[in-house]
Parts: sequence; structure tokens; C-alpha cells
Amino acid sequence: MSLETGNEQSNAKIILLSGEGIEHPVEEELINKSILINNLLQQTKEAKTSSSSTNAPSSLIDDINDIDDEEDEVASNVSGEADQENIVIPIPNVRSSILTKIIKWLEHHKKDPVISFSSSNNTSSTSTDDLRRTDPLDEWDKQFFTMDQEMMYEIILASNYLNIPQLLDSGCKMIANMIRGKSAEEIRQIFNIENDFTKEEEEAIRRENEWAEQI
Amino acid sequence: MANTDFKLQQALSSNELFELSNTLSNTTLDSDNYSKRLSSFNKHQTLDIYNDQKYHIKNVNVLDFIKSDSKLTEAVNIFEKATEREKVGKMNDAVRYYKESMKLHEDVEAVYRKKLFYEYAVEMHHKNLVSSNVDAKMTSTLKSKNGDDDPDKEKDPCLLIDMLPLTVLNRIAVFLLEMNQETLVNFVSACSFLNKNCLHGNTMLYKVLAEKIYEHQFYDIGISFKLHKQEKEVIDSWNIHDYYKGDYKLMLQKRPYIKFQGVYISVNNYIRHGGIVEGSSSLFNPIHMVTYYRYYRFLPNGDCIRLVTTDEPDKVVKNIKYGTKDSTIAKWSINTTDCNLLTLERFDKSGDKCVEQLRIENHSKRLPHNKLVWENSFYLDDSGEKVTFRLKNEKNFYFSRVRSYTVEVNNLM
Repeated sequence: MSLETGNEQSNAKIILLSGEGIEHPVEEELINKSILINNLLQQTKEAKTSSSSTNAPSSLIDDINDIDDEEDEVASNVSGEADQENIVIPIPNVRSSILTKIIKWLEHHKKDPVISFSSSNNTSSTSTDDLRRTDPLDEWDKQFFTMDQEMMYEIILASNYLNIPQLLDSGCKMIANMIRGKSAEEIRQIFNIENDFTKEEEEAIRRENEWAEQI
Repeated sequence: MANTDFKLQQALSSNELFELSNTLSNTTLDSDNYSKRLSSFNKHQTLDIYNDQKYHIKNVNVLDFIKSDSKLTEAVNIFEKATEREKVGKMNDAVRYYKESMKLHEDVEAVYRKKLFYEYAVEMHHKNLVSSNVDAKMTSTLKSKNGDDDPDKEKDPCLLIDMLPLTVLNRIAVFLLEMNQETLVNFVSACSFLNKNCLHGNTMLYKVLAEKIYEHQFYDIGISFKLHKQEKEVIDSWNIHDYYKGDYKLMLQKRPYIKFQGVYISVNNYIRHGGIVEGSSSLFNPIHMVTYYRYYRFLPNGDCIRLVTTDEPDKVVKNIKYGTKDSTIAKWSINTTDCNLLTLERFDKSGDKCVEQLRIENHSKRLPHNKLVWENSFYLDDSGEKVTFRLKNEKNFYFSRVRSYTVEVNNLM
């Protein structure tokens, strides 16, 4: 199942309901970058088409796409609303301000080439993974992530939950950039990490990890 | 008397003491540091070192011991003056002061040594405190003694670790590995949680690392029988799935590989007997100790740049690339059945095939695959006859990381 399929309702608006209960309308085309939501929408559509013909395949598909509890919970909400024109998807653990930011990111990356991934296969292929890993962080994303650490983590958390790999990777790369070239002590200061090693332990850890520098 | 002076000087010139006193005097000259140092010394009684038996004389801290004896205080002062004079090369003055202080107190040297070590320890402690600013235990003891800070005040939490799930932290570790391995090591060395989870427990990291490393290795089934890409993939897949049962970490420790982010160096010495220079009155022929280096830089495209020179590593390593003067290129590969056996093949100027075989071994348990040990070296002449070189004087190669290679290597990968 690739992203390009199932665009019959390309004009349909999806309404994301934030933790505070605020509605965030977004085009389906945009939010399709979230694998979680994409899967939900696919399921709803399949459930709809199958229920119009016969009920048996529907339950079969549900069995195949056995996803985690949170998704099931959201899925039931979706199917409830599916008959209406707009589909409302509650995202209770993401704040409104974070959703706004994510939608802004999605809008900017609207024209990015779609990385096709199979929704039934959770382990994405190595080649795609490699491609994303070695790509440098683009300038716009650097600007986008210029914010306080807490907000940045919230966006990363939300992208992890919504399963938007490109956004998650951008966030991780941003943090990696903050760490680049810094000493352990500087890293502790940047992120408020408490040094729980004694001097001797720290020295021992250095020696123990030396192999990783010699690769 | 002359004899004791000589002994005294010898004792004082011991490197350890001299370096110590130099470090101290250098910081003392810096006026800013001096005032800081003074203030830190005023508080030296609050430090743990103060109670350390190492710095005690007759169960009293060395500084207090000096203070308690006015004669000794004077002797130490004069002794310090003497060391100052000695440092600037005024030996006559120095000897005079040494004599004077010894007359005042015969154990002055031992006391002075202890004082110096103690001051150095306090200095280091103070320095660490200033630079790191995180020695939480120390700061809190200082604070509670000063009583001017709120002891209940909590440290800011680490949002990075508190908020982000381990999968995301592990992903960040993988990105860091892509940048350079030193940054990754610094990151995981920040605290025990990161060290335990993002390095040692990070299976994703080991997988990425193993794929990155073994993808660019070359294999053979004997001299001049290199494996093709597809055959290599079969070997790789057999290794991880059948032999190492999916344990990437174990594979990285046990399955030898060639490293690209640095250079393998072998340091060799030989003695050359020279002739007497004309007109020299020497009765003996001079002996020259010649040191030369073998540098092997391996590349992920199957080439190895070989260089033999008397130039030292710090001048050479950065410049080892294609076309470096006097360098030769060989093709390298690792044997599939004897996985430690590395073979380098090249043709010399006369067209003869030269083969060098080395074993990839662990430098120590901590540093796997860091050593190359000579196995044999020979060439095949026109008639195909094997002529073997003596390897008796050849030393092992050891791997050294060269940071400037990172970009070039990544481009070749």
C-alpha cells in the first residue's frame, strides 16, 4: 500500500482535534505524511467499501492490520465520524500550539518527494533509511526548529506518535547538530544532564568506549 | 658538603617535582588566577583533600604543620626562593639558599615536596570545579558550609532524557554516528543512562554500524581470487544470520574488518654502522639508529595506499592520499575461510606481482581489529618463482584514527 493510492477524496478536509479540544483543519494530502493517520484513513475507506458489499472481508482486514491500542482507539472515533463530510481525528496527547507547528511543517514540505513505504511492513527498508540518515538538515528546518528545547521535544514526540518519519528525522538531526563537536561536559550543560559518574568511573567509561572512536 | 649539594640538586631536578612547581608558578604569575587561588586556599580546609593522610605530617595537614613551626616556615620560604632562583638558572644563588634552608630545618625538602603536592591537588580540584561547574557533591558541601545558598533549590531537569522515548534517543545516537564517532562517544559519556542505553543497549546503532563497516570490505578465497559483489553478499548474510545469529555487537567484536577512518602504522628501527669522519679523533665508528615508518591507508574502494618513509606520523598522516610521493597502491582483501588473513597485492615497477599477507588481530581486548601482524611477504618473478622477503625486523602495524579522513572516506562510500 503506497501513499499515492487512495486519493479519491483528495479535497476532503481532515480535522485534527488537539488535546485542548481545538479543531485544526488540514488537507488529507498534507496529513498523509503521517503514517498513523494515513493508515487510519485507509482502514476507514476500506471498511466503508467492504461494509457496502459484505462484512466478512472487513473483519479480515482488521485482523491483518492489527495495530496498537492507541490507534484502535482513534480508529473507532474515526469510523464514527466517517459518514460526515469532514473526518475528525482526536489527537489528545498533542497540544494545539504543537499541532499548528506540525501543520506548518507539513505545508512547507508539501512538495517533497514522497518516500513510499509499505504500511503493513513496519521495518522500513534499509536503503530508504540510509537515504534519510545521510541527508543533511535543510535550512528551512533549521529555522523551523529554532525554539526552546521543550517545544522541540514536544514536536519530536508528536511526530513520533503520529509517525511522520521525515519530521522525526529532522528533529533528531537538529539535536544531533546541537551535539556535534561538543565535549561531554558541554553536552551536559546544553541539555542539563547530571553527571552521575565519579572521576574514576568517567575515566573507565572513556577507556571502555574507546573502541567506538577507533572504527 | 659539595656532595650533599650535588645530591640535593639531583633530588630537586627530578622531573615530577620540577613540572609541578612550574605549573604552580605559572598560575601564580597570572594575577587573576592568583587571587582566585588565594581565595580557594582560604577554603582549603573545607575540602576532602585536607583530611587526606597523603598530605599529612605527624597527623597534621602539611600547611598547618608548617605554620605551627616558625623555624620551618622560614626554612620553607627560603627553600621556595631557592627553587625560584634555580628555575631561572641562577645556580649559585639557589645553592646558597638551599644550604641556608637546610641549616634551619634538615627535613625541609620532604616538607616542601608534600606542600607542593598538596597545593597542586587543591589547585586541580579548584580548576575542575571552575571548568566543570557540575561537581554537585562538592558544590553542595561548599554551599551548605557557606550557608548563603538555598539547599532545597532543585536542579533543572534534563528534558531531553525525561521527555524523549528511548527509541528517539537511540535514533539521535545513530545520527551522531553518521557525523563522527567522537561526538557519539562524548554524548553517551555524559551520564550513565545514555551510556547504558544509547550505546551498549542500542541494537539499532550496532546494526547500522555493522552494515556500514562490512558493506565496504573486500573478500577473497585465496591469492588473486577476489569475490564478486553478489558472492560477498552471500558471505555477509551467512555471517550475520547463521554464524552470529543476528548479534551485530558480537559480530563487530569477533569478525575482523579493515578500518578506513585512519591509518595503520608500523614503526621500525635498524642500526647502521657509519664510518669515522676524516680528521676525527674518535676511536669508534659512529652508530646510527634509523627509524622508518610503514603507513598503510585502506580505502573502501579496495585500494590500499602504501608508504614507507622516515618521516614521522604527525607530518605524514594528513597527506596520505592518491599520488602522494613514493606511495604505491595495492589491492586488499580478507580471506573468507581464514577470516583474520589480509592480503595485499600489487605489481612493482618491473611488473612482478608482490603479495603481502598480514593477520588482523586485536590490539587489546578493548580495541578489536586494531593490529596487523606480518604473516609473509613475497613476489613472483617472470618465471613464476616465489621469492620470499625476510620479516624478522618488521614490526606490527597499529591503527590510528585520523579525523581529517572522515569526509574523504564518506565520499568514497
